Amino acid sequence: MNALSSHIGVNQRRDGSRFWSIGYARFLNCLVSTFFLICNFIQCSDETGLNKAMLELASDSYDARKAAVEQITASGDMRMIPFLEEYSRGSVYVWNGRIVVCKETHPGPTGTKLGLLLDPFDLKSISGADSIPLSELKAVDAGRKERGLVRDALALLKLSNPDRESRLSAVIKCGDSGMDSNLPVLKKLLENEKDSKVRGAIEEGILLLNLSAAGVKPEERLASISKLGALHSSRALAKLQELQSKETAGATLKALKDAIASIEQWQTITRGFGHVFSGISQGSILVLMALGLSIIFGLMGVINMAHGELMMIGAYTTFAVQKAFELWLPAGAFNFYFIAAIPASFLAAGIVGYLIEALVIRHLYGRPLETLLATYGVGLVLTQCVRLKFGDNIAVNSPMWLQGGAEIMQGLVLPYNRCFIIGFCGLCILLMYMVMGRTKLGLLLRATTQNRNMAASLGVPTRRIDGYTFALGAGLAGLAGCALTQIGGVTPDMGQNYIVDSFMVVVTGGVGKLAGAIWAGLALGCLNKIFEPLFEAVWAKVLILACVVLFIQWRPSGLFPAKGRLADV
Amino acid sequence: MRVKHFVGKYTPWLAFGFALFGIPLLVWTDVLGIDSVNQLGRFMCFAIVAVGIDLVWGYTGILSLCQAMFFCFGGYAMGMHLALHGPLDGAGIPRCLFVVTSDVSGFKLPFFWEPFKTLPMALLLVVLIPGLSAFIFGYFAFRSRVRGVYFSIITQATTLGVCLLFRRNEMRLCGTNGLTNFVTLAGYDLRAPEVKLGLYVLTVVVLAAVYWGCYQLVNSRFGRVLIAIRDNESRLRFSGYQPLYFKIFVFTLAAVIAGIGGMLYAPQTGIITPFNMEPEKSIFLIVLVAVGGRGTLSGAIVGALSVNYAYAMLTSGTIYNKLFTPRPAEQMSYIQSAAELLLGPKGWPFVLGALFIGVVLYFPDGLAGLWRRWTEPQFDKNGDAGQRAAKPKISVAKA
Repeated sequence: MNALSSHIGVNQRRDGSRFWSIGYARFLNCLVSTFFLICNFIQCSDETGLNKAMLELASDSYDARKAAVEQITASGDMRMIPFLEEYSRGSVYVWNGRIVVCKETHPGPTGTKLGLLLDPFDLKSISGADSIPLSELKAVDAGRKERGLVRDALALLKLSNPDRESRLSAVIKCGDSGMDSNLPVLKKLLENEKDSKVRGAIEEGILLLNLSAAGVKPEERLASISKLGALHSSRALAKLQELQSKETAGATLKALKDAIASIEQWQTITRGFGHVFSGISQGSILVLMALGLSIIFGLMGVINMAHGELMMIGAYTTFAVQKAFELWLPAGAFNFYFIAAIPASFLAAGIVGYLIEALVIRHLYGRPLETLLATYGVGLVLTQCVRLKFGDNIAVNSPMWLQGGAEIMQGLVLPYNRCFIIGFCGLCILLMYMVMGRTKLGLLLRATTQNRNMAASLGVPTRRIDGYTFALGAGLAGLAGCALTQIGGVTPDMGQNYIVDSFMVVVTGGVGKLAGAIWAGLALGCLNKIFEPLFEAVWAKVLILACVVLFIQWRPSGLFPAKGRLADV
Repeated sequence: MRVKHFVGKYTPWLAFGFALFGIPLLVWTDVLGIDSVNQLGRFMCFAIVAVGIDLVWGYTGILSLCQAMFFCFGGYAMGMHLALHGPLDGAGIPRCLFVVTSDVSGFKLPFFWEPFKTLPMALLLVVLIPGLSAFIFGYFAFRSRVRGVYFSIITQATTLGVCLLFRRNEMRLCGTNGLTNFVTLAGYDLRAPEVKLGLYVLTVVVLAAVYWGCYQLVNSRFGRVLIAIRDNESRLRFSGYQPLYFKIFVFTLAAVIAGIGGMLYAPQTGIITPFNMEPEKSIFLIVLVAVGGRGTLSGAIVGALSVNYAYAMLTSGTIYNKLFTPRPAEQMSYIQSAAELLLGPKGWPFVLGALFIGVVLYFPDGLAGLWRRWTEPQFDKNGDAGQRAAKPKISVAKA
């Protein structure tokens, strides 16, 4: 199948038997290449041949076993990867003259153990062989030497894996191994590889191996060093530093220094980008929270301490929707549960918010400090209700399309879930501006915020507007909770962790200002993520709190203070 | 009517007399165990803090959510003194500090522990640390006219920050474990019943003194300015007063009172941890005052004692166990499961939440309002409930 299979040598052993393994690998390398240069054209996924080779594993002679492993490796058959793994774990047996895998046993009638036999090719149970007494099985044990053989064979098999990700990781391992024998393997791989990413990894691996390989010319080595520097290869950093401490020749030393500097600089940049990016996504959640808090406070003068709990309700609604999809809908629909969870969490939090307004806050009009206490009480009750209903720990899984990330530059991976949150938050802000600026509700809302009495005397139903606004703000918190499930833990008291932060955002941005909440939210989120690696998480948090308190000294009404007559309210 | 009036007038004296002489008598005659007295003493520490909160919130209208922090400052100051006189490890390091320190070779007592070695200095610091920090914080906050909910939020954020700091081991304040291993206070064994009783009596006396002092304060011209700040600060400023200094003073005073409460709390509980200053604790202290009745100092004390007793009773399940025999959940009647949910340990957040909402919505005057309605019937005729909340007993002379 693939001529490259005839090379071996990825060795991940770390127990110090390096000399032995190198020697052995070289030996094997020569042996296998000669062997399979001859029979390269043979169709190797031939099951009879493989079966024979597998049976050979049970042979008494070490050489026969070795040849069997080599033959299996040379087949390039991906089904052999799990089989070889099972073999080195010792779960392979001979039964009735055929090779089987047995991983599970169950107790038999008379105290004997019965085994569930699996087919060696696909590891599926063999029909009619699900309760075979263990006494009928003959174990095919893999000794230390065989396990070493299998480890190398597996690495080699994986190098030609048709699956791109597995091949990539195998290639990276091969390049990082630091073994000279891998150099020709990689060079040969490069000839046939089509995928650009794997090609990049292979080239990087070749350069890496060039650093220490025996037969490499000094100028080629020098070129490799500067190329690695130009590639900003983070894989090479440790190796280069190690070389730098040993190197004496002036030109090489300089090249090494340059390369290391270039890589480190690149790493600093990408790390900075990464922090800012996760800061923005964290800030997006804060923005969603603060938007709701801010319009509620601007409109009614109400500090809603239950806002964090409304977010928690959004998160738990997401969890409930996920459960519902798992229980009642086919498995294929599961990936879309998140789409359904977004409106559901908005509605759930909005309804709870409307109820809070109608039952509690409406009766406390004009008494902001009392509403602070009453809504805190509401928050306590909501938290405890959820805790009694759902318990303390639940897991929300990301749908497939939010897992993983996009590598936009070397070493800078943007996770899809964070990208999604940022986009989602942007969309919500846009919608909020539309609602505030283009709809009748927005118009009435702004009128009531500016002058409640005047608006009321012109016929604006201010109390009803209060209710809708509160529901809208609560719904935004629900959306924040829904988004948060993708990047944070979900617990009944999660609201407590966010409420102080979102108040900080509101206070910094200026109460009742959409733009203030947005800028302050993003700024605080980024500051938090930038401080965190510099100091410890706790110190970062304390520092930010101190910053905000000082900021309030400087601008008591926030970034965007109300002007003119409104300033006095 | 006269009897009621008499009761209303002399109740504080009767209560004080009972707490000071009656309770020790009950202990002496073995009616009351020393542990319940100790518990009462601890609740009275909260009552001391509550009086301070009432001063700053009930009278001046500043909702400060950092009183638990000042409480802990006082408690830590006292606790450090006690820990230094408890078991010592290494080079004279209190055990609670020693066990949370990872690198103990050559570890000396941090310099800021030194002043707490002597009792007079520790007592001075109990007053100075909360007082100074409140003064500085208040000066900057009030100077830039941070008001209303802004002030509440900033105080809450500050408490959170300080609480996070106190949890760190490298602050050398014993981390999350807090200060423990208290053995002696001024040479007396803290575990001895007589010393516990003595601490209780001391707490009662301090509470009475704080109450008396604050009572004099709020009934003076100064008190009227405080109420004016609460009701209309702008108008007060236009009348030529400078609210800044009044606010700073009353905020600092409340902090010192909270610190004294913490000082008495530490030796009676035997432990003080950062848990005591979490933001929720400050809000819990506020609810003590809200339940008792804002704007009445005695209400704060009554509220502190009753809510704390309710907390102790409900979270330990005492009431529930008296009313029902425990049985598995599937055999319970609906009434019993409902009772378990409300009266059992799981139900405390519900009760507390209901207290918050109910008191704010329906009893803005709290227990003191109910009591006054009984002792002073004419009070009922003036105005509606909403106005009463804003205007307690002492009203500002109308301009």
